[in-house]
Amino acid sequence: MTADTDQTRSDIAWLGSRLQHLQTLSETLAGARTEHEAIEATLNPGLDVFEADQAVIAMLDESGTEFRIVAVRGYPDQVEADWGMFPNTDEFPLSDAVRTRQPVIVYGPEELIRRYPKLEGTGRSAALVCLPMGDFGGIALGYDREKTFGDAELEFMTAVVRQCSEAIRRTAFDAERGRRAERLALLAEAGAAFAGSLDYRTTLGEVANLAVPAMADCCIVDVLEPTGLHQLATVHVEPGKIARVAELETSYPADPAEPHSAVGGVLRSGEALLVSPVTEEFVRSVTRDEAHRDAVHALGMRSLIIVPLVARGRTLGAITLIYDTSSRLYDEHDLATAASLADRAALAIDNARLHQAQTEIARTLQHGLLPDALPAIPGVEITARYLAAGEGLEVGGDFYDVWLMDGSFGVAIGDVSGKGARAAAMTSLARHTVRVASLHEPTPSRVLRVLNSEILQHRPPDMFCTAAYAHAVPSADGGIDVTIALGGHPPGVIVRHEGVLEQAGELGTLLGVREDVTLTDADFHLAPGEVLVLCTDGVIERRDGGRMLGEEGLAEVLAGVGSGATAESIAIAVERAVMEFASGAPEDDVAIVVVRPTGDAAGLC
Amino acid sequence: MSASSSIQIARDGDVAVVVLQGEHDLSTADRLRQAIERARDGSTPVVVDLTEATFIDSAVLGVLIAEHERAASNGSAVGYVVGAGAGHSVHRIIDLAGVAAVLPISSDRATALRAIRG
Repeated sequence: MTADTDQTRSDIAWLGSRLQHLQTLSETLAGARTEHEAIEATLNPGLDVFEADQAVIAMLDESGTEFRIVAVRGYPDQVEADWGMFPNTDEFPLSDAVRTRQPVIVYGPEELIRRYPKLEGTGRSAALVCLPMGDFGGIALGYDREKTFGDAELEFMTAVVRQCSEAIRRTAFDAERGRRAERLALLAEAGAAFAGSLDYRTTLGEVANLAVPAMADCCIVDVLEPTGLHQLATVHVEPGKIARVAELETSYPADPAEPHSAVGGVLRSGEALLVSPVTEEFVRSVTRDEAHRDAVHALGMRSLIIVPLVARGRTLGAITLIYDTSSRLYDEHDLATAASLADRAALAIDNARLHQAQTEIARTLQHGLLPDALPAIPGVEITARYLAAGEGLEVGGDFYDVWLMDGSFGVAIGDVSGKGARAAAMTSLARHTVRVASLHEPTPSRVLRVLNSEILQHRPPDMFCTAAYAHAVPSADGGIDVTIALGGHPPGVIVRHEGVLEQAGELGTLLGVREDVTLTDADFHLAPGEVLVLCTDGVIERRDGGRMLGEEGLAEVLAGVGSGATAESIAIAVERAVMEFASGAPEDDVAIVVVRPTGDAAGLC
Repeated sequence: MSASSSIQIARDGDVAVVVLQGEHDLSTADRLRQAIERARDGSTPVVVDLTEATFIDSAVLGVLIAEHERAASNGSAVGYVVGAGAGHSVHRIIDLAGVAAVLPISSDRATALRAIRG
């Protein structure tokens, strides 16, 4: 065997082992799911492929001004500590390589210090090769023994490093995509959670719960209340830390007036704050004394976002997001997500406060529209039902009323067009006008005529009213004699015995539009057990897709209630028919009044 | 929420014709108001044809009444058409509310156009 053959064999063996290392590297890189895994893969099988003794991978930070060492192999720990960050200038071989996009090769410490004087005292490799990784970082490979790098070798190394950088880029992209999806999911979840919560303290608790751990290790929500700034929610991935955060807050409360309060600063300026990474200088600027500083250091805050809660130009508080236990750092995207989360939360808080006020107004107004309780009339059952449309927040225009007069009683039902406070005022006017007019006008048509004039005088141009008014006088048979007039209102339905239905009232003109209206008095008798049902158009106009409950649907319900059904059970049957006809709350208010003489008492006379 | 509805503005000589199709209620009332105002464009006579409407509610009636009054107050004219083909519930709400006594309602478009042109 000649020396040549030996050399060839050794070369082949070397090539085989290199190919094997290369294959392992490719497989490991392909399997890397995180940026960290891809970097580790570059270093571990990478070192074998390159036959290097030391390696350092450094990444350019987002601003492009500094390199951060993300992985080290073969150097003492001290190197990583000393060289955690270095500036992006040509004063360092690795940054030089990335800047020029060319390999930098240095043979021995002497050359190293000659070319890169700043590295005085650090050189120890017999040879050093720095290769750029895309435009975002680079790898430095150190060799303890003398080594030369031919073009072919450099080309090979460059190709392998390119493969590594592609893998790192892919995993970084995947991670970013994952984080983006996470942020979007978080915002969607926030939207749903806030929409459902009408109590702002609950909303703020939701904010903190949503933020941790999806986008913070610790989330603190501070809210400005009339009594000052209050920490309403604190959530930490490590429940044990909550007490320490709370303790810090008690000793050094966030204060809008305190210059050394980070939250205070955000509240004053209304501007979001991103501190990433948290520096000693920053900690010093937001702490009030040594003890405060120590306590903040002890928490180990690495990255911080504070966003103000602003709704309708008013600052309601602030959300603080902190990374302390995890190694993640916030970036501009996180800031945007946090701002979006804060906007949603602020809106929800504002809505909750508004809702509280509105509910009170609605309750007060509705109170004026509907009687507290119907009068007890001996021998006559009277039941009323009222279903508010939608959320029940806006005051509806439907009204009903039942009142006793001298030996008789009046029943009114009506509907003022429109919604809200204006309609409520008109509804209140309508209800009380009918009641007052009933005391001095001789017939129901005359009562509605008074109502017509009254609305004409007071109404805004697009408002009108429909109303039915019935005057009932107990009769000797235990029933009642009824006179009814309709002003643009659906007629009542008389339920005779055996489920026979009749129309109660003659159609008339709606009220509040014209002085000359056609209003007719219609008389009928209800024997004991017979029933008068009055309702507003919300009943018959109840729709589901193209179907409508209609007068026919109402008639079907009433024909089916059976003799002997009480006023109460009939009202409930109608109410149920309305509710069950379609899903969801009615689109319009619904008022139902049922009158049924029982014949059980002598009546009012 | 209406299952399906449309409001179209057509032209018949000097008269703007607003044609309603499908269901119209509180949710479309504002659109109807705007359409009539647009069709009027100051003082153009307007005929609103509800013959192809399948449903209207009191909010729509409110618009019809308000627009009639607005026309009366600024010297323009508006007329309404509810032909035999209109939905049963359209005829019924007009009957129940007694708006025929309040609004100029014709039973076909030709009559409405004649009436509005005087």
